[in-house]
Amino acid sequence: MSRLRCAWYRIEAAAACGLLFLMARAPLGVVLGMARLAARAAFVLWSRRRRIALENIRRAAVCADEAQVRALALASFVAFATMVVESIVARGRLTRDNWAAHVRLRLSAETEALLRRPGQGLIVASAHLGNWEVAARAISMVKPLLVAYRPFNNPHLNKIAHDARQGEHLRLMSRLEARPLAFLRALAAGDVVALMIDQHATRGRVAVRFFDRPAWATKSVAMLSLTTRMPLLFAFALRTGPLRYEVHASGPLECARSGDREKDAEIITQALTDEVEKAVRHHPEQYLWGHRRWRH
Amino acid sequence: MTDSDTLGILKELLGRPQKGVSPKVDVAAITGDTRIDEIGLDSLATLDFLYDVETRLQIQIEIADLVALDRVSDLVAYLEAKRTG
Repeated sequence: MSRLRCAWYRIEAAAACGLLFLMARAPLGVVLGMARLAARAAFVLWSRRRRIALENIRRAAVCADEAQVRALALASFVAFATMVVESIVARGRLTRDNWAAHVRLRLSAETEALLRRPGQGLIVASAHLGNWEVAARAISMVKPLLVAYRPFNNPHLNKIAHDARQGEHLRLMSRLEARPLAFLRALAAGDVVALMIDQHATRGRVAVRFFDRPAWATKSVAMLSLTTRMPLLFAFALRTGPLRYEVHASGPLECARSGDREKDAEIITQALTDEVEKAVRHHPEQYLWGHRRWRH
Repeated sequence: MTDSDTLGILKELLGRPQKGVSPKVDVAAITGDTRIDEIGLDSLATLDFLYDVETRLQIQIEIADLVALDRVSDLVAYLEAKRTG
């Protein structure tokens, strides 16, 4: 690593530490106001990400005209900034005693029974919709949770983010970590394993259709389900107000084995992608549109 | 089928080229003493491998049993017991 890059990484990490410190202590209204301002500034200045969001929304055809496309893209930027700051604030304010006052579980009787059954491993697929960090924290209050995440390039920032996101019963594992049986051990122990399924996958992937357009998605969730035969849910947490959320879950999904591994993985991943699309169509303003999803 | 045959099948499956996955497995170096965690598969390749083993041997691997196994020889013995039991 060059000296310049190393110095930049340290500056980035120091700035992140400062922001984390301030956000955790400032009044919620102030923090949310700053997040909205930052989101509007990013929408103007971060032209590449703005273009991606606008183009994705046009491709998904969820808006009637160009003015709506722009408004939705801006709303998506604001939702993302809000998600980041509320996740930081929630870390200090959501506790085992008060989390239910902040997060309402909107689950079917079957899903709730699975979640609350001691020793029952569960696979949860989720998407970048609403507040996925709070969703993980809330679920971990009911059942221990292992989340796979994609690490930052900056190792210092990565450590800060890793420490900030972990919880008492919320463990994070980098996708780059070579621990092949970690997910299986967690499921065998009766924990929840959560993975995101709505981003472009470069390897270990299957072809799906998302908003009727071809895309690549990770087959990890499908393979985990096919191999362990544990119940597979799709879940997400919608933001309903300042530090207020509703966790929705559907499933368990049908995961039949035919002997054709890739075909089975494709069918399950498409079913999950359909669930993501359905949720995004209902709440497009809370979706992370600024990701290059269609690269098929 | 003997333990040696089962090990041969495992090696064959491990050595197969995977679609979009580079398992980096040195099949020749795998022996009964190799630890399962150290075969060289990442988590997704491990899942692909387990699916293929179940399909090939027509058995169902219990995850609670699998995670208690340490070495390839333990896996071979487990698979043999499943297949014949």
